[in-house]
Amino acid sequence: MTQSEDDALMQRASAGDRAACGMLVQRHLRPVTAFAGRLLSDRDDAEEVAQETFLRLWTEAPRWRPGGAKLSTWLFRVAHNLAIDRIRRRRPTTPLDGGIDPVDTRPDPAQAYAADETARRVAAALADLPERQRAAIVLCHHQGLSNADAAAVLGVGVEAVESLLARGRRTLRRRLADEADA
Amino acid sequence: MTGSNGNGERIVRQPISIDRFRTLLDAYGAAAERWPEVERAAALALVAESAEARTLMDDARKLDDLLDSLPVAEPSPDLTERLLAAAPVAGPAPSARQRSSWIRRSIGALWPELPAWRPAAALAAALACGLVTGAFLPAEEIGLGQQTDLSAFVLFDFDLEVGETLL
Repeated sequence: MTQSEDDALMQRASAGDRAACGMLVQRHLRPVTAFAGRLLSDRDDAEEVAQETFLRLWTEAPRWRPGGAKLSTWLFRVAHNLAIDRIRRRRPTTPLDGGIDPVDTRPDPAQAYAADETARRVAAALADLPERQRAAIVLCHHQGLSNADAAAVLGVGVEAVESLLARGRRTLRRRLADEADA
Repeated sequence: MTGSNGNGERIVRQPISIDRFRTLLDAYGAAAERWPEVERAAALALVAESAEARTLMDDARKLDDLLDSLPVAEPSPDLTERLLAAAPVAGPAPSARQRSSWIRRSIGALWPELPAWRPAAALAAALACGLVTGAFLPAEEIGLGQQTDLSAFVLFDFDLEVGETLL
């Protein structure tokens, strides 16, 4: 899938071409959902992020500039920001009255996300990484982006991406040493 | 010695050090296709001639395998249908009223169970809260100049006329 093909589809989509919209969804919905799923360790949240990302794409379509940003980069960037917003909203807050937080009895979405114990531990270790390290690993390792494309998604330089990747992977290797040696 | 690839990037043709190779593995893992293209050939040459490089590569592969164990979230079949139902429609440039109609249709497609009055009420409440917050809180308290909601960097074209409702 090339940038010029995506640009042409965006032009057609902005004119209300349903087939072009379908092609865009077919090309990009799966990677966007997979990216959000690995960032969030939650299938439902991933689907909502993907949905919101495409809703913004339809809104953006009339303003799309051919030859500008890669569509995949734009989609990953929107999905990344939406996912980070969700991650930040999940963080526990201190009760205002100094009382004790009620116990959260909802099922852990990470349990449903990863079926086996190894995958659960990997998902948990990945979720514990700083947001940018986690995103860099998912973009480059799982989504197969080059360091330059990952840099464009994260809004940093290529060297910064390499540093984020190296720090993140070193931390993961330490935390998952038992599994790695098995 | 260097050359360049089709993207105008410099291709490293001189040998790379074992330290640089270790850094590559730390960052990109053991799969050569994930290494930067400009250093890939030199790194593969090192692997071919260095037992130490191959040992480092085997070690890096263990983490790659663990990362590959993560499941893939697949979109549900009806998500595609909902997205297409919310897609732009053909015709001349829409008026503000037509755009609001498109917004209403999009919300209806994405959240079909939502009662019709709620989006308008939610928008009005959000607008009122924003005005009150902006009017009464000092700038530093509301983080003026900081982008806390990262998802907001893409702006919507919701230029509704004053007094016009969504529904």
